[in-house]
Amino acid sequence: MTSIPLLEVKDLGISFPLDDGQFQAVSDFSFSLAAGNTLGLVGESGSGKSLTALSLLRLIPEPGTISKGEIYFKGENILTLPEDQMRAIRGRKISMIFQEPMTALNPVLTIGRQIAEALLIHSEISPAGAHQKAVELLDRVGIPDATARALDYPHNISGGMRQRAVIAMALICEPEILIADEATTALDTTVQAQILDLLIDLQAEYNMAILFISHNLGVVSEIADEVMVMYGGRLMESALASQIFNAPQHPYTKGLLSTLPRPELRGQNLPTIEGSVPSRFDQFDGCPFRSRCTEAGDECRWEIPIYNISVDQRAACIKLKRQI
Amino acid sequence: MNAAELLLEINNLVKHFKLRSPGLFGETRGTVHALNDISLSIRKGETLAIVGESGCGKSTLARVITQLYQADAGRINYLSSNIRKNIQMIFQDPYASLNPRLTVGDIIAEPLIIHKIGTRAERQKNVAATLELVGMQQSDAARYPHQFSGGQRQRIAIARAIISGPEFIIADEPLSALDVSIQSQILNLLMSIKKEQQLTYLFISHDLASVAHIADRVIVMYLGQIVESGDSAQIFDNPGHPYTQALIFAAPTIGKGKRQKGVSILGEAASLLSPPSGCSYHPRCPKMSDSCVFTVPRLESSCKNGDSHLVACPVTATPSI
Repeated sequence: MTSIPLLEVKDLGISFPLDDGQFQAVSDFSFSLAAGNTLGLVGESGSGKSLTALSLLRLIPEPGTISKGEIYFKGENILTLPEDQMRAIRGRKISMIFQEPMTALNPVLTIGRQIAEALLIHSEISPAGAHQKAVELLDRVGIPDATARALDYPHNISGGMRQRAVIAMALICEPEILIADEATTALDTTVQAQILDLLIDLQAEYNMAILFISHNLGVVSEIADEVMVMYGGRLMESALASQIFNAPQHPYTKGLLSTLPRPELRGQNLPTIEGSVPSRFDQFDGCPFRSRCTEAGDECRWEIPIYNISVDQRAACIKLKRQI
Repeated sequence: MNAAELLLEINNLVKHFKLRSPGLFGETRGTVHALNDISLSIRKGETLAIVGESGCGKSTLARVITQLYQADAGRINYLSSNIRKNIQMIFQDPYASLNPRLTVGDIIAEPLIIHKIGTRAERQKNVAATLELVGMQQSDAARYPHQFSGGQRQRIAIARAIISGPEFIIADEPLSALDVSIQSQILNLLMSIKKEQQLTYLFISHDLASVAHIADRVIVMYLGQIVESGDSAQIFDNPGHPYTQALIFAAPTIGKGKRQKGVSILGEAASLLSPPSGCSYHPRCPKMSDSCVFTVPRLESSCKNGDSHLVACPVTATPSI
């Protein structure tokens, strides 16, 4: 296919200055995202998944910087855009829903006002028109009695309703890419299921691409078409969801899936991945998973090649070389 | 009920919190019905899990059992001599539950000091042995909590909980603050220590997969009430209450592919300030009938699974098949 992908990230590197050198939070990360598709991004704390998301909006917190790579949105490298042009993309073409709906909302503004805000900034609409659209969208995301709720403050409504309001806020400009960073993590299981259903519905309606970030493999499995697994700031494996969950190739992905409790193992010892997740103080060369990997050898200190296992599946493990 | 020895019996426990307006003479604004008429028993040597969503009362129940809160009504019958020494807790967040100014050795030794167990030298020996038991090094006793990862901190919290040789441990969401790749380590540790030390666990969690893995029996709570209880297999393989069914259905599963347009459960739990009349689940229940609005359902044995499986739902209890 020759068409330009909606989003293409090439060799992304994000780093933070330290007293003695640099902390490389994300390294050599490449992926692309197509319209109407949901890409899951899985990783544990510190794996770099949230920073990757923020880089798409050019919102890396100070003093971090995007030190390497290109991010193409519809063929244009957004990293070289002047800030005013970036502002026209941020929140409008690419928008984001955050984990904690209580902190994502301003407590002193009404729900309706906050949802309408992006529209007032990004288009020529009148305040009354923007409010009307906010009410319509509140109704669409499943908030009952939307006209009245639009005049409520965040503390007046429940957690699930707040997350719906945050979703409405992200959708008001009909973005082409929606980034959901742990968007259901703070919610109860039953409400989480409702929000996942809502996202799937809205995606079909708006034909948007979703980058769905979560540490919860189950949730990602329920919503993603493709999945990327990150560890220590690097891509470990990426594949179609069915491949990742049914035929994982990378030792980390395989290990992670094997540790999950499942009915056949009730009451028995579960497989474990020994050691702990690297912190920002651990500096390492080579594969970040090496110290916990049962298959690691000397060559893992130097090289982290990414192999194409099939058309849709890539894995960053030198041990997979022989199998291909 | 089989003849297993009981550790603890709870009858008709009630705990309400008065919500006051700010200020010294603030008026009562309402009552949070945190626990309503809870009766349960815990058998020696079992792992009893309590599941439910936020606000269902599971953590309040733990705090009433450990006497951190006084119950408003009802009875807790501890069938053990010195309950304060014999109950320990493991908390959710190992970053908050360990005093950052104390060494790991001092943190772990604290229950021994409080209960005046052993001499200083004996305590040190005990700390070293307990550290090894939870998979850490003896030398870690001299270090501080911030030098450890989340999983290691939870091991320290477990060491503190078991050092005084308690019979009964309450673990309140002990896995949920940990990274996914660490959770199975801690789950395994909890299970092996239980066996070695002949412990009884009350395991509180919202994560059904880990509950199904570790629990012998399960209690499902909703808005301060028990809606179902039974053996783990009964609850997970044959849930009786519509809420339990919805909870299991809503739990994300791996490898089944993308969600199909589901029949996800409606609405959200009502506020504990004004719980619904009758069955508190009725506003969300697909099987709701007229009587559910008025009658508070009693926990009754389910005819399908015998008398150890209790369900508080007259609608599903009626044999319809």
